[in-house]
Amino acid sequence: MHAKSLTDLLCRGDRVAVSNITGREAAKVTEISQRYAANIVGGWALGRGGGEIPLEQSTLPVFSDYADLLEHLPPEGRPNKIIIYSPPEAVYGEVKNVVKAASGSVQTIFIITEHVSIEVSAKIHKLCSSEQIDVIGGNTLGVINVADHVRIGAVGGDAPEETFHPGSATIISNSGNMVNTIASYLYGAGFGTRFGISTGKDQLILTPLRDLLELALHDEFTQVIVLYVEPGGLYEQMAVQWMQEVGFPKPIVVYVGGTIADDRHLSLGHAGAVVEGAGTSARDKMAIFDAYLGVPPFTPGMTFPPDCRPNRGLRVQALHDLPEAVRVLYDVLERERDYRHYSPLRLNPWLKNMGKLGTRLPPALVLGEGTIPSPYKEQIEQFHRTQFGRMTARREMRNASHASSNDGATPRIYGRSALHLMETRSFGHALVLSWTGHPPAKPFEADLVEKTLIAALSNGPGTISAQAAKLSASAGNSPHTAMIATLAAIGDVHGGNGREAVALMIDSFANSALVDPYDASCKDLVAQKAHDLTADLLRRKRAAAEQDVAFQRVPCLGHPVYRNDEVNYDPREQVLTRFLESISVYHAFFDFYHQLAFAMRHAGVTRNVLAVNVDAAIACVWLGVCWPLLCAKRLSVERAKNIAIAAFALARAAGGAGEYFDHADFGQPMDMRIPVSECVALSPDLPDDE
Amino acid sequence: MPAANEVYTAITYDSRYLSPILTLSLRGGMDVESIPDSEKRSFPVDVYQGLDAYQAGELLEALGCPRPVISPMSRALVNLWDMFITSGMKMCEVNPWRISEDHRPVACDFKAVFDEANFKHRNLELELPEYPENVSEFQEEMDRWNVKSYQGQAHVSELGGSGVLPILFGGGASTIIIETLMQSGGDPMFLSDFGGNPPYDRMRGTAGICFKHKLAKAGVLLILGGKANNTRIDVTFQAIADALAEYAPRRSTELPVIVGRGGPRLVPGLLALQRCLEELGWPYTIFGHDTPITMVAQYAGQLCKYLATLPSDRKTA
Amino acid sequence: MSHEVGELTFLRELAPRYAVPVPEFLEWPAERKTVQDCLARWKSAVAKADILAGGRGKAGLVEQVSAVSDAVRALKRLSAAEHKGRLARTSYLV
Repeated sequence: MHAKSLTDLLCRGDRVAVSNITGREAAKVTEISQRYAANIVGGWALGRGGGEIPLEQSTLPVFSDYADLLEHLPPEGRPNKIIIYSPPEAVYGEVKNVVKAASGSVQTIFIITEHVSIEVSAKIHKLCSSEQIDVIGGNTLGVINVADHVRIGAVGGDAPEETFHPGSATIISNSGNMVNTIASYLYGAGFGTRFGISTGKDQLILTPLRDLLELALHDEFTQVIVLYVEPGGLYEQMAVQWMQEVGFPKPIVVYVGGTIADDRHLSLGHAGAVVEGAGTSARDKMAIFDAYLGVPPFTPGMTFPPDCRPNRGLRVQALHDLPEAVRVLYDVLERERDYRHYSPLRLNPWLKNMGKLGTRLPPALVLGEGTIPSPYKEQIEQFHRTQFGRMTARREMRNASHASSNDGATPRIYGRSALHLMETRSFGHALVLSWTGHPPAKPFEADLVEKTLIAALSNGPGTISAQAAKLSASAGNSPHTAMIATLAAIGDVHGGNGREAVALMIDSFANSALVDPYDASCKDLVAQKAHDLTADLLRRKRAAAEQDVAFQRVPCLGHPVYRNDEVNYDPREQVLTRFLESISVYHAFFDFYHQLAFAMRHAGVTRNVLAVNVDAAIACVWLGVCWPLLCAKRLSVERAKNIAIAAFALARAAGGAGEYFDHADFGQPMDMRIPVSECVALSPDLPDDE
Repeated sequence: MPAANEVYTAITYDSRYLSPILTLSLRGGMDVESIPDSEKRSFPVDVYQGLDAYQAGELLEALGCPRPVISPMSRALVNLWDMFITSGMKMCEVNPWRISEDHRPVACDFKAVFDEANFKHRNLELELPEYPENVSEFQEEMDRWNVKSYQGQAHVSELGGSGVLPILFGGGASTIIIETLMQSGGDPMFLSDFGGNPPYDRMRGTAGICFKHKLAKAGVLLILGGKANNTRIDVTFQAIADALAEYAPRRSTELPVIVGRGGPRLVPGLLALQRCLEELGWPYTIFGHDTPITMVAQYAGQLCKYLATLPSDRKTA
Repeated sequence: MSHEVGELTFLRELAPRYAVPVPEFLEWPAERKTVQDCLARWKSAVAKADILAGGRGKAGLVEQVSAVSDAVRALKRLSAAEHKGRLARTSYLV
């Protein structure tokens, strides 16, 4: 071994070079490592020489190979640590190149690559040990030196400082992720980390446990060594034998995982975690440690008589007992913990809804309310604040429906008997249920809905949708075809504008104080929102004029039919408004649209006296129905928008049928046809193509 | 040569020497573990230079091998080494060699394992037969799915349990989660490791296979991993939620779901899953990474054990 | 990940290629006549299951045979053997 102490593996001042630095994982880890440790001098990648890796505030040079890197870096900036991210078949070649060119400058090579063949591992060991180069890995996650704030590899993930706080425990783990997990467990109990070391878990671990323990022994800041051990190899046997020989003075706390592999033909996640003879199984390793430690396995609450003190350490049987075992050990050995705080590990649910099951569980399985730590608590709150309406989860819908069911006896709409609805409810009531999934919250809502249906039935034979029905009748179609023609003649500017009106109002009121749209105390809020929107419109109109682009009009205002009236109201909308007044119901959305028309005229957004048209009225009625459901996240925003257009389409399709019946009775076949003499040819006649 | 003097040989890689070793004994024909240490010799072989007949001969001599056998046996061992190293094996064992009356060794039983990570055995163009596998449809489908892509692992091993359906992440973590489930009565259905930052489609497919085969019979669904370094939680959890929604209709009763996870983009991931579970109306408890995975597993195991004691009609909400 | 190699593959593929001395062998299925010839030449033989599970001897998947009918019966039985959750691919005589 080259290293004499843990700091020889990694410390501040080390200069790291990264192989295959442009690879997906290498590039990402490099960026975070550089932010955390700033210890990387550059990297190399085949065919990428001369490039750069962009970082937050600087860049890292990319060379074509290791020799190229050495040639271009100044002597004092040459790497002494190498981290290998190359694909498995390239690892041996890269290591060989490094060893050949290093001439004593490289001290440690970290092999992150997984699936390096065992033959290559053996060759790398032979090659590097003869050159006094230490190798960590293969398949290591890396190493972190917490006090020096440096790491190599991905230990600590995206935010090493969140998990790793300086302290006295050195973690040595066969599983990379367990280094992080154990460090966070220990910190909760007041222990910081000295070093976190992922040994890698290929079949050959090129820096075995024995050697790492020797480095930890010579590290004056390591007070306790925490081990996470998996089956496979005789590393623990060798380590324990050596500890006994030298009278190892530092306590260890051990967890041995992988007993399930002892009795079964199972391949665990790691290549080397294979039971192959005495001393390699999890149970054998437990026995080896138990014999060394000389005390029974640790369970929380156990006490130690004076003649049986855990001077050599403890073995825990559950991973979450690790911090408690370390705490007990420090108490018994009369050592101070690294930090004052102490928050024992516990079940802390973040999100919970056990429903009816929760009421039937025995007390031992009932969990109290948890507390979500920062910053996750704020993130969840933020999500709920900005998220409006229901977020639906996708599912198989081919043969499934929330909207309807029929067990052969009772047809149901959202679970409610259609028969009962027929007997006791109006069409408006059933329609609200069918479209929102919930019956109307207020009795007058069904009346409002029905009034909008009447309003939208027809607006005279000249309307595009009525014309479509008449054309269809003239062509000799059936009534349902004429209704389809009516629907086909509804579009964004005819009937479909209600969708935009709903979108506009949702934009204005989502996540505001408005919850009950029929609550008159919202008046000020509504006036404010109308004012804000007007100011915004004015700004946008001016900007649009400057850039000479079309100004996006406000939907459902200024219907041309009523433009020149003295008092500019749509009479159908007025019926609805008067109805609301007659039953003394305030309607926030009607109020909003009226105020908006008024404010836009006064602010100079428009010179016209705008009318609130019937599309807006329909939109307001339905949004009023939908609003409490949106606020309670029981209805999606998308559905609320679409209901407005569906409401218009439903009524107008019926109106189209009315036009059809009339036209079919009294008109002539083909009478909608325009005679050739009245048609205007806008293209000149051209000769036929050759 | 009497049966008692049959020769045992094995070439393996050894964790003590971090090198290939040749193990020899004249007490062949029995399990190597039951051969006393005094009667077997191990010898590290230089991985660069290989085994030569002289080294093999010395070793045989030290064991007391009859003189006329040493030379032919050494030659056979050199050939065996040649096979081991040029075909990229990680272990091979001949037990026993029998020695004919004219002192020629004959290999009378053999087993070996190729190192999948070593390309050499693929270059030999060997005709390696396919052995019929006695595995479940679930295992077979997942194994096929696993080799389809290197993006994210899709490892499962059937455990034959009928309790917890575990969707687990991380090699080390999944092992101790399963162990904890076993200790706490969770009776896990299989061992799984779905880490390695799988993209959406990969995770959706993996979860889909699990749910297709196992959801109907599961007692508790456990989705658990540590604090991920790279795996994006929003992507993986959305994929799981979508697969769950697809297969949930296969159950006639609600299924309690226990979740524990940490890592990049955690909150959107947890909320996506929560939304799905709320839609399904299934009971759930979701933990963050501040609750140890072994505690979550223990809770899921205990919950599953308790539910199994309820009469089946009471499990239905 | 690993790929296991059984004795039959070794006898057929690896031993000849690397000049490792091995006995003659006969893979099942084979003509009764061929089995008879082999037995006549080898005097006695062992029937084995071609299976990737260890401990064949203890599990009764290795059978000493001398008569042709015994050999054929053993080969048939062993070619359909199951051990430690694994299935035999075929059987053979050495």
